[in-house]
Amino acid sequence: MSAALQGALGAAGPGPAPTPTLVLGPARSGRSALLFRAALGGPRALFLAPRALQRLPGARRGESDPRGLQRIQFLYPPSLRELLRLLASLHQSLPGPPALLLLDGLEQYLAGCPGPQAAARLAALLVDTASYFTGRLGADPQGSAPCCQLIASMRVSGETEVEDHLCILQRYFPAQCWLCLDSAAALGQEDCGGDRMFRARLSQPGAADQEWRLGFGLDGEMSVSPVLWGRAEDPGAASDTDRAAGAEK
Amino acid sequence: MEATLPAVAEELLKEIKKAFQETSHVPDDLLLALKFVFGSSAVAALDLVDQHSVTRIVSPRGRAVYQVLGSSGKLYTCYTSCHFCTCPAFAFSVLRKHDSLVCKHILAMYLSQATGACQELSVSDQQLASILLAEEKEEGLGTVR
Repeated sequence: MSAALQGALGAAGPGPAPTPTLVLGPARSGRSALLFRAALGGPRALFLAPRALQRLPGARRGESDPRGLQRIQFLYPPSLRELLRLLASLHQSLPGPPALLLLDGLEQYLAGCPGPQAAARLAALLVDTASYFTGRLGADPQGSAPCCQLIASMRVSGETEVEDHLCILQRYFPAQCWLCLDSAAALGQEDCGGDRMFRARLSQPGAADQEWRLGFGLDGEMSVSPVLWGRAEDPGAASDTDRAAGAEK
Repeated sequence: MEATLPAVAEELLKEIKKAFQETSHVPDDLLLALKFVFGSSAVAALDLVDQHSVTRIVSPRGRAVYQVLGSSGKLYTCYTSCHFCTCPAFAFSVLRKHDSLVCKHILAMYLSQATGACQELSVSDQQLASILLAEEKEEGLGTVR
């Protein structure tokens, strides 16, 4: 799994080598907030999306961390064609390699893919670009990151043709983080402290699944606490005090 | 190449590389194993290697991509870090039907690396971007061969 995403969810300690990770979830499930939180928590990041975020999902309303933001470069290729061109030419245009490559809204680009090979090309070019940056980071003696991690987010609704490409995407993104509505919390069986609760489950080959609970307060703030399987949960003790507003497309 | 093949295929390619380094040829048992693991792609890929059809293209900033001249004379683009080829067989047999691990061009890329038969070519950063996109005009990149 992506160490950056793991960090964004509050997990500690070294994990397996970072692999390209796909964050999947329904609308307003915190995908953008998770990606942005990963960007804020690490070294230099490149954040790609079809259009500018309406508000920063990594800060409370009216708050932002200028130092964190300075480490993030935002680029908004508006179409699949523009995204492919950008990815293929980043070795020309970026002054230095980022340690984190984030793509928010993959489903919007996949909608422009005429078939499985086009979807594969997009996923492969993302992986190839991150791999190129990894090579550049390794060549930099002063580089602080060992590799460039890749995380993309995709909205899933269970209905769209875009999801037909999912099995192809899984070839290129071995780790997946699924965001699902927490039905138990939604039924009011637990004290959520907010109006929406989601479960984030990270799966990757060769490692045990991990799960977190994401809560979105009435003002859109996101809180994260781990779900400890097989043990009594104590979300209060493990709750992450760092907050990220749940701005989500 | 960072892309992952099944362990048995990885091991086989390592053995082929070792055997080739020691004896400058690939023994029959390894060729049979290659055909067993990769099916009909194996013979076609070996033909491509014999014809020195695989070229690794690099740009001044260190970005790289492979081009393989197919048996039909068409150039196909393969990425260095993961399994992707612009040929129709990759779309059909690998992506759609899942009945092949890789296409013959990607296998030829692996075998060229193992046997040192890969050609090298330097292009500008801009040209490399165009090849990565596998734009239609790539067929006009006659300088590759």
